[in-house]
Amino acid sequence: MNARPSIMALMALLMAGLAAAAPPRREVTAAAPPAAYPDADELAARLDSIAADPQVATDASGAIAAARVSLEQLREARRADRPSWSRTTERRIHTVQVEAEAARLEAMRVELERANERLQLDLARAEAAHARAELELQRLQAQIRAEEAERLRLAADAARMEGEQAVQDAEAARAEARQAKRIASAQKQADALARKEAELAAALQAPASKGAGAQVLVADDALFEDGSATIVRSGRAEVERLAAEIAKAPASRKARIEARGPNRTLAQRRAEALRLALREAGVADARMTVQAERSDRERIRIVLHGD
Amino acid sequence: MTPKRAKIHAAFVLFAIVLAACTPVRPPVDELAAASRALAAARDAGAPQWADQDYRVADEGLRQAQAAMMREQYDEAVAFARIAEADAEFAAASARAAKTRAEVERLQAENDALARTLAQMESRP
Repeated sequence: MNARPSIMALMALLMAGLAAAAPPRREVTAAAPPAAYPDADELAARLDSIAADPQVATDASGAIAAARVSLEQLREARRADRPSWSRTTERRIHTVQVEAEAARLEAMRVELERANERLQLDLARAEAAHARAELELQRLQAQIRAEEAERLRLAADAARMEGEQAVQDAEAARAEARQAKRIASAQKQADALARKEAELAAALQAPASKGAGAQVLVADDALFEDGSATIVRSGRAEVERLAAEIAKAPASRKARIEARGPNRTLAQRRAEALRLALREAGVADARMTVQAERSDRERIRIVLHGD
Repeated sequence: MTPKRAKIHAAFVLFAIVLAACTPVRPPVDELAAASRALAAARDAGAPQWADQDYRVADEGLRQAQAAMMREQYDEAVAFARIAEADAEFAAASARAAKTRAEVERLQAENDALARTLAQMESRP
């Protein structure tokens, strides 16, 4: 009976040691719920069904391998370690699914990226084509504008030339008018000469027809310059002619120098001037009288009359 | 040494052996390091942004593993670390999928807009 108490003590100590070691294990099972965790067979079936898809098998091969390693660990794990290995394996199976999804999305992304590049290219081409069309339109519009400008320029040139022609025409018309005036003036002069000639003719005929009747001598208009009462140098011959005419008449006849014009004073002075000139030409002063009258027409004549 | 004393000694030695067998002596440093690496990889994959929930689960798991390690409850620490590693891998994969999905959606919208613009441009005279 010597050994019995010590064996009892040893057993008690052993129990105490086991009790001291146990609590951590209980805590582990508390952290990973012990009640419902899938066992290795269930997880293996789940993994197999997911990996049966060849696309998944290819895309998530790494994750599948990791899950299978976990599954083996679960199969070989002590009972206490099984919950955490089950949880780990389950997580890795989820990871397989997510990896497969990520790979599927990545393929889509690549495809979309390619489509995006194609679209960008198409858009760039369309924009280029549009820009070319726009440019062509602009070019056509510019051409139309240029043609319009050219047309307007030509029209302006034509108008300018027409204007110059009009100016020339006006100038020509004015020249014509001047010419006409000159002709008219010449005509007037011719008329005046014709009248004077007629008067002279009448005066020459008068003594013959009327005998002792009055004789009229018409002095040349050119005796005086405009506005002047001085006989011009070239008028000498006319004065001589008039003196001769007076000398031809009978001595009893008197000569009345009649001057007319718009300016009566000028007419008077011209009459006086002719009287002086005739006296110098030999006509007796006593035979001569002067008379000035206002008239619209300038005229100087000498009337030889009886008394 | 009496036989009785020898028996007592033997009992103590046996007790010590049993105690050593029952308590995991090796701190699960490798397992925690692996979990920590997996979590860092998940961070790099953008998990905190793209798979926030999954990342937090893994992160919390690693914390619990570390806390167990501090308490020297190594079996518990190993279990937490093992699960945290798998959770972190899952979070990384989720983040990659989410990122790719967002990119797919963006490209789809962009391509639709481009196709519309192109159709408009081609319908223009």
